[in-house]
Amino acid sequence: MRRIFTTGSAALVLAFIYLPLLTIIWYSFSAESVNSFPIKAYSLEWYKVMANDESLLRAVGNSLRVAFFSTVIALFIGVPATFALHKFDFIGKKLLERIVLMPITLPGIVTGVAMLSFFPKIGVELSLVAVGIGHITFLLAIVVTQLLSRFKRLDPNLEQAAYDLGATPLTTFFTVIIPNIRTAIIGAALLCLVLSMDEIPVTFFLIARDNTLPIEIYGMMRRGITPEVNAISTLIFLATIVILILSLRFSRKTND
Amino acid sequence: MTTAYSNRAKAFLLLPMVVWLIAFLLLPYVFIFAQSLMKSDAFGNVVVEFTAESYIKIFTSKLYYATLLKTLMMSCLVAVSCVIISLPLCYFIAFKVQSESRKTMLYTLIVLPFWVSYIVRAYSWKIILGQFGILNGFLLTTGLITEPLEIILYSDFATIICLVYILTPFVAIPMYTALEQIPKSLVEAAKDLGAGSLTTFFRIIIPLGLPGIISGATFALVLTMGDFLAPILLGGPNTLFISNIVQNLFGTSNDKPLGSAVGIVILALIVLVLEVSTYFEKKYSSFKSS
Amino acid sequence: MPILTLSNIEKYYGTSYVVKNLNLAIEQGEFLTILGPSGCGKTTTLRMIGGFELPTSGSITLKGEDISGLPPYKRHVNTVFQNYALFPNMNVEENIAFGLKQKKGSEKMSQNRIQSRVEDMLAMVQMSDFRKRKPQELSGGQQQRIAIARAVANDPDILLLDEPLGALDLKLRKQMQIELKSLQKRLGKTFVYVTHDQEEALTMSDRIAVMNAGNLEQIGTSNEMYYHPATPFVAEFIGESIKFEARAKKTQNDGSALIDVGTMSFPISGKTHKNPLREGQKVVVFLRSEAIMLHPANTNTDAAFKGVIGDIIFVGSTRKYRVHIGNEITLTALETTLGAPQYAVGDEVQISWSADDCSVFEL
Repeated sequence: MRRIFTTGSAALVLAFIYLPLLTIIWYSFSAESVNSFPIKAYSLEWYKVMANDESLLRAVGNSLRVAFFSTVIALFIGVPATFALHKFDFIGKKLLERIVLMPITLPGIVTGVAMLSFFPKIGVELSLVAVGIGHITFLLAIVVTQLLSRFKRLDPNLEQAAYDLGATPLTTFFTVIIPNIRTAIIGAALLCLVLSMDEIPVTFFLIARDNTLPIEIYGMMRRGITPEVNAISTLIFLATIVILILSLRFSRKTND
Repeated sequence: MTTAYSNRAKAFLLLPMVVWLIAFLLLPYVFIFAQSLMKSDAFGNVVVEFTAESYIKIFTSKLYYATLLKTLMMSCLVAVSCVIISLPLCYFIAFKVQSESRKTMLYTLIVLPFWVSYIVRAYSWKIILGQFGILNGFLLTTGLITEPLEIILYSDFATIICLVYILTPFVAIPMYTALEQIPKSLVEAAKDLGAGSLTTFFRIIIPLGLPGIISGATFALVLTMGDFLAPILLGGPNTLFISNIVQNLFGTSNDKPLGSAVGIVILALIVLVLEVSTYFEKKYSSFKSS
Repeated sequence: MPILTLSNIEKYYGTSYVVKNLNLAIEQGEFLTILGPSGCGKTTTLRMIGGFELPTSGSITLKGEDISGLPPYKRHVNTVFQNYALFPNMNVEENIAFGLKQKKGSEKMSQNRIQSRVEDMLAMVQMSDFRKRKPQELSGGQQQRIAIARAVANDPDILLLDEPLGALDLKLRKQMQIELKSLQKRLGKTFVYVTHDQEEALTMSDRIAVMNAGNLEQIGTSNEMYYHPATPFVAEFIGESIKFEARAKKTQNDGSALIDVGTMSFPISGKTHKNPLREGQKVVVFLRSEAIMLHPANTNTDAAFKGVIGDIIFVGSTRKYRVHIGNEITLTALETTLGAPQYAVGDEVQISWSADDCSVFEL
């Protein structure tokens, strides 16, 4: 009896988590022009509309570009710095660790309006570049948290063994340290891509004319419910699952 | 091991990030703090003149402090709801599922929505709660109502449901991690000493899992306090969170100093919540931090 | 001239010292073991030789050259790490070749020479068939061999080994001890080996340095260490002894004396202590279990003591008896299982030991 109660409530919660997502997928195949219940006819109509929606496709392109460049730059800046945070003690280290986390501990809207107010003062006009700079800033927090825990699990003797065998710090960093945290870097990169693609609060304030995908969808939702959103949402959902499966495969690799 | 790296090498590794954070994170924050102490003229231009006017306005004008209080209450409600919803599922996976592979699968199912776009998840509730949506359709076909209910969507209720839905994975992840850490032998020991399932749950599992529950609830609380999208997308005309006020002040109302001041107040509140939560997490933690 | 000299080495972390005024000279081609309980400073000493820690003061000289301040990658010493530290991103060959590829300038090695050196190393540790495996696909013992091959490949002046057998099971450990010792003989290299396992130290080493609480207690051969401990710590740490406080009397010029324990007394020879004892001197006496002989109560011996068997522990080749002498002393005696008479709990026995077979220190 008690067993049924626990199992039942767990199943209910899972239903609460997944039914809404499944609803979107289901409705994306509706032929009707409003989201009504029950669905009377099915078609791929809305996928066609989506595929011909120029501004939506442009937004996808913008999001991909912002996500790609932000992730690459965040890794280039973040990985060496995380290594330094892991290895060295220096004045202000604790402070730096707190500052780097600010964009994910503090609400996006405040970070957003702060950047909105300040960026034009240093010559960064509102644009996709400003969005990218905003994204890199919060992706640094992701890179540092993800990789710091990985560095902590890395056997310190590996680095010492490399020095012991005559490798300089630079050689050691590239031949021993980076290859051994490779899968964690890939995992962090995937997480960065997804988060950048989804980001709204900061993007919302830094964007000019060129929309990113979530902002475009936000606009569509504000204009009224169009079933086209069902189709694009379904695709986003599927893309997310693919990326998640990829990242799980990387994180499960035992030699990391 | 401090011999291998010169100071120049250390600077080379660290400096790019430090410079970046100062230029694009710290200075913007300092800037809006400064801006919050200035005032705005009739055209929305910021006048460089130091005054506490904006802060005074926040704590004397009902619009601001009442919205702040309402946001706080809504945040607590969301946090508590998330905990209530996550707890049975996390408990089930941590203690009732035996096979490791099934555990991993179920845990992945909790984590997965965390990766799914915020806007997509918010949108799903528009379909469900809309005027011709699933909920109304269902209630109509079962004959429980005769007219579609319009108040379900665009209300405080819809906003809260949506936030609870979006934030549940944030709460469930640390909660599950905490419950999973509890040695199964403790549960067995409690049973061995004659405690029933309920006693074991409330006297052993909840107290030991408390740090994870607190940290999850804090996530939900803080994220709701900073959210401005759910009220716009699902809220009614009166659903106004404090973040919406910030958004308006930087947009249509165009009073940046006041907007900055509200932002700083939100920051201060959130820092306070985080400090209190960290204190309690530490106080109730029975295991060495991992 | 010693190949490696540690002079006045001190290592402090903040105000607490880990190694105190350490002087140690290691000879070319010897197998030296630094032995001590955990926290005695032995690993820190090894890490200072390897260059992973810098001494707070003092100097380290390798082949007459001061290397105290050099980073590890500029020292001609190599280390076999406790958990092997094989690079998981490289296979066996690549691991062994790693150090060879780091050589620069006049020492730079061609691809062919690196390859043939790797072959030699693989053959040396009999792992040629595993060259393409990743470290995590090898057993503990196999990883151990690769770690040794990798460290030896660079032809270091000294090979440092930090409890390299600690992770292996007992049987494999014994086998690897023999292999390591014979490898060291064959290569003629200087090995500095750190362990807390005294049996390992006694079997493998040419000389043993015993450390305790940051101090070097004694350095010498296994024999010296076992039969002539220089300090009470060494006497207690090495082998199995019982320890009791007593008083010396009837001291003779040849160093022999009588030792009083409570109401009983027994003779000791001059070999058991360094400095002549004074009449009435308080001393501490260490007596090894295997030095104690038991005789049936009814035999006619000149044994000094009578005792009663307390309990018996069977340890395979030997039997351990705990014997009570009156209420004051309990001894542990080791007797071989074969041949010797066997006793039961409660049996009365006579107990004797030779006047040479104990260690006496002034208190």
